[in-house]
Amino acid sequence: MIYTVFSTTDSPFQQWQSELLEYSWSQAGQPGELIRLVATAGETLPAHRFARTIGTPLYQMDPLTGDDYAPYNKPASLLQWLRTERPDGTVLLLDPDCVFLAPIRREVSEGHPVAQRWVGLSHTESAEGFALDQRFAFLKEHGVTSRAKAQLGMIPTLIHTRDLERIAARWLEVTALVRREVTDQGGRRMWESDMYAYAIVTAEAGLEHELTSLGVCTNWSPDDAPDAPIIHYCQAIESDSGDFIWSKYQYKPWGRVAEPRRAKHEYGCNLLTLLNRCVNAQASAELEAVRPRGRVGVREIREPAGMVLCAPGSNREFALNRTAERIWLLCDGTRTVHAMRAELERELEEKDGTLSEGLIEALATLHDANLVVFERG
Amino acid sequence: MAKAMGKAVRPLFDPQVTERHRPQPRWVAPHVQISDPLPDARVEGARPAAPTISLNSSAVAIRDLCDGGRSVFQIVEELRRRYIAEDVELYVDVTTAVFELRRFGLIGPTVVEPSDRPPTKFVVGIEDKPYFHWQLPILFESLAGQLPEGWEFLVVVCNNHGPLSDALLHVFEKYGITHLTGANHPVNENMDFAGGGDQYAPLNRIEALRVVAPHVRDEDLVFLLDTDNFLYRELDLAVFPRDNALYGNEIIDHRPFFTHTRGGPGVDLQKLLKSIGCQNRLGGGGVAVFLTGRTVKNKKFIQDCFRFTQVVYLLGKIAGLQSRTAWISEMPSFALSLTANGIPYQVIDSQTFMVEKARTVPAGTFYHYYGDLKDTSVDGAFYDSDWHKQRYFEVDFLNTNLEAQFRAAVTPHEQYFFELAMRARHRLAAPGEHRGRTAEARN
Repeated sequence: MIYTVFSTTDSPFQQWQSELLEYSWSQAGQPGELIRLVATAGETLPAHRFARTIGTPLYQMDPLTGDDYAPYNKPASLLQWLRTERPDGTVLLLDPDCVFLAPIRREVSEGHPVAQRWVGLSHTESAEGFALDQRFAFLKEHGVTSRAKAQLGMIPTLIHTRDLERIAARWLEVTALVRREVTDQGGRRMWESDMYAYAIVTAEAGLEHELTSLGVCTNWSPDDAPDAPIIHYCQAIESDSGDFIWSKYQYKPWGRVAEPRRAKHEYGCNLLTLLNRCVNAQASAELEAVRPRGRVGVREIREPAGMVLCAPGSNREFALNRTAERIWLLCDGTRTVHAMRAELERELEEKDGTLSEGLIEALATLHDANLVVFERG
Repeated sequence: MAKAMGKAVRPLFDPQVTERHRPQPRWVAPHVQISDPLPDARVEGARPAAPTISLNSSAVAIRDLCDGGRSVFQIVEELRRRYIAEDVELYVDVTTAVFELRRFGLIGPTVVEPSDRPPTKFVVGIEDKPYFHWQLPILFESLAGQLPEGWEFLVVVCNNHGPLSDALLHVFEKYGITHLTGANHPVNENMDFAGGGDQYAPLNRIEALRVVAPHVRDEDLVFLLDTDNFLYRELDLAVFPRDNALYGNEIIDHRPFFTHTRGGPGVDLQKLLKSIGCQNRLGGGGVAVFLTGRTVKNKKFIQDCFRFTQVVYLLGKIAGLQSRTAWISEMPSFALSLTANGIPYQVIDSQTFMVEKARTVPAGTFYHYYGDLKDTSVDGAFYDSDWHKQRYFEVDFLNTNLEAQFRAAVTPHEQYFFELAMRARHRLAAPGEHRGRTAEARN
């Protein structure tokens, strides 16, 4: 049994990320159960179609130091879940800003965790500080066995529930210590403190991780995690020209992203395409009854290669292939999307569902380009 | 043939819509800079060289297009052909540059035709609240670069002459708007103490007239409008009257008043006039109000606007209406006061000052996006749209996902509304010189 588990609060920022993760989990056909741990002081939990939500107490603030650090919730919520439900099997540990491109079917046994290699983290010659650096040497004064070498893994992580149960409380405790004592070069407390704490407590527990390619972070080279089944969009997506074209911090759900192919790396294109498909899926039921109509002022140019449409009130031009042109010609305000699909299915003798996805994607793209309006009346 | 060879290969259903990038250069923001050199200190008695004004290529292009024959819309259209640019930035850049070019005398007042109409002052009375901090920029944006010489906005902030918020001052400074302050009658005066009290914000409209009176000339025309208005595209000077006029409104014209949508009890306005011995026929207009400067300076007229608002409101309450139903009591007060004081006015029957939702509206319409769920219980301010202003009572609408709302808009005028909002957001966020004015010293 694989439990795909991620920890969140009930903030809107993590709600849309959770929904996107859930969509990708479903689309990828990931086996097992999807569990969203929700650290909240509220009484109602967010609803999901596939994910099971489990409410856990808010643990955003360290009770001893008063340090406000949302990732405390991760080990605290896991601890709550493990001790309440006593699950048995493999935990695929993710952050909410992860999406599946492909399923992970591998299960692990007790004592044999697997993790994505933490690009940029390496051991040093220093004997102290878990072979990281002297900043972590202080931990020996807190009973942490500093001879062990920190594990160089990060999420996505596959770990057996019994291993996770063994380290969860210690993970929470060491996270607080790292937050208190270790600062970055700018003298700030580190936002990755929970990640360092995991690397340390798993080493202390004698858990040797197999490091492999499980999830690519969006500021890495694709070669850092080749063929990774998961994308971890912790950083902004860059275009070929070096501009940042999308970031989770700027994203307003559920807007579509124009031209995912602008992304510099294939994983960026895959992420944005997945996001657009998620938006389409959310809108598709609502779109069934709308009547697409060409927007007033759209100019049509017929070229040998196909039709070009000029958006009204701008100098943007869009080239349509023959199939897209056929859809455009059906956008006359008289047909609902449902009727358009039926007409195209008759024309193309197509009924296997691929037409529906392409039609919605094309209509959504025409709509985003300000070429089509969706009328409801 | 295909049959003979077995099942025909179906064409692949793979619709592709791809943006095609044109070879035009990318638009850069226009830049107008004046340099005022110091005299050469090495030469005794040297005079400073004359100030020079430098323009970058975008500013030159705009200057050359301001030849007296083109509107802002036509200038933007021409620039759109030459450059890769978003309309939002082009409109803001062109109107800003035109202001600068005129300030330095590099172009005349050529962007709009001289008007044969009296100089018209657009007047609004507002509270200093977030609700108005986003409505005003949209209204200003719709008129940017379109007002003839001598036409201007006067905003009256009804705050008992207190200091203005930074947010509101920023709006005035960015749009070069003259503001005045006035009394806050809704807070100061209880409209219905017998019924437990009520604050009636539309009194600010009348207060605005009172406050601007010293700042207009007899021959000026004052156009009193609500803030939830915007001009749809090109300004049409022909729709502006030359004398006192009220645009017809079926809410006011309904007999008795207050029964527009609900039926039931109301107030017979004609009988109200008759009760004070006035035999003149009441004209059914009053949301878009045009008054000459001479009328606005008539203190009795202004006082009676206040009085009729109170009387109609209280009669409505006596007739058993809820406060919310009575919150249109100021609408007929202008017609009542004009009629009672024997001041001539015309009622103009036109859709130019639009208060009805419609699928299409002509350019030049002042669209009043008054519709909200509290009023109609069914839908929003535009045809086939859920959008309504009350969603943004405490929220900065300009800071919402305007792009998504722009794309979702069904009608061209609704889409233009969101475009105006995007322009306003762009202009307010841009660094630059502030140029607002206050006229409080004359108040």
